[in-house]
Amino acid sequence: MALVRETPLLKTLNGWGADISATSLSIIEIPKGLVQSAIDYSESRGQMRARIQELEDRNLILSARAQRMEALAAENMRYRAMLNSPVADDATMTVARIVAVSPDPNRHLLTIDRGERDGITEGAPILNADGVMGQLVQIGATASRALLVTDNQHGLPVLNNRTGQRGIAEGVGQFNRLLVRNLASTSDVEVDDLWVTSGLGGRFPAGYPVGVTVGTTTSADAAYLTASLEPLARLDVESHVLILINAASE
Amino acid sequence: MMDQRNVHGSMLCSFVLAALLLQSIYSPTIGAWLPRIMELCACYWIIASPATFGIVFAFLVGVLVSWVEGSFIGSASIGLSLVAYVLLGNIHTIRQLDAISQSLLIFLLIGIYLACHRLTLSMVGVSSDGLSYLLSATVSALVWRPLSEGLDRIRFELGRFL
Repeated sequence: MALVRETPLLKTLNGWGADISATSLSIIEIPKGLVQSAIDYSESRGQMRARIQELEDRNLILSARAQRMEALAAENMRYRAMLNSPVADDATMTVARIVAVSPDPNRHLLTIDRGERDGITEGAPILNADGVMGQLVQIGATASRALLVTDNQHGLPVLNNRTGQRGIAEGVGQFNRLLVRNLASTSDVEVDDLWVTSGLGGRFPAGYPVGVTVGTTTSADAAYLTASLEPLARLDVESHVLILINAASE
Repeated sequence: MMDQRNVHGSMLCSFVLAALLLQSIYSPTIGAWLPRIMELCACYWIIASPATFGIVFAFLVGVLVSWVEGSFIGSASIGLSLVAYVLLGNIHTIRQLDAISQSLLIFLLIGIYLACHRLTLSMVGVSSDGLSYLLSATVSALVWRPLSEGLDRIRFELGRFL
């Protein structure tokens, strides 16, 4: 079975699987959509005004932050130019909706409603507002499936944001846990340390938040340290994700 | 037992519906509790019409299940073929069993099937999360009786209608 995992035929088949999964879900959601639009219609004017006000306030705060961000990005680019390192382009992002999750509890797969026609490719990273979620593994024409970072077949190159120490964050099949194994037992790792993507391996761009340390354990012979992280992106409740399209070129 | 003319059409309908139902789950955290509806449908059709549906049928359903789940294609097939083999070997006994014994048997078969599934997946490096699949087998056993009676009923109505 291991021999036939990656044949082109199976890849195409898996892509169709993602397409069919998305199509069937849109059929199932017809009644839900009708009820939702009825609720939206009956939402009172006052509530709507309050909501617009809330969104405007939030927009103001965010645009203020974005201004500062732009200044910092420009500064960063100047430093990079001074160091002769390649200037990182802003990755192109596209928003996708999660349409289904894999019913198999041992595999953390999401089906999203963007496919080859939207210009996405295999291996594209997906994230949300809080952090990295995973990468795309099966691409169909209009839908695709993503493997989450917590799947026990997923490994993600990370580094400790405080100390700069590198490691690989592996999924263990639980939605609230990642493990960074085989660190030196004298490593400086503290609870609440932030871990970000390191960019090694070239698949995930550097600098996106992954998780925070919740605990460390030392192996019985005191040779290695294992840090357990809690992913920042809430993987089992989100409904929209961002896909980075040209991330691999960074 | 039943009219054999439109058995293929009904079979296909039940699988399309089961696959649709499978897709409608939104939260992955309840995944371990869900009944294995497609596998139950396969068991139902083998018991209802053993002359038409056999081990090859079960194997193909296994392919379908792994395809719909986005898992490694064919990983569910061996276990489901084994279940079909056990069902076909004892078909007359199983048909005579009362509701509780039949549900217990389904618990056992789905348990064996899921254990086989885990075993096959572990060969390609997907480690298992212990005995959590027994939850799914229990819920499947509880769902079995309503499901099989519902399908019997629908088939009867369809046979009269078509």
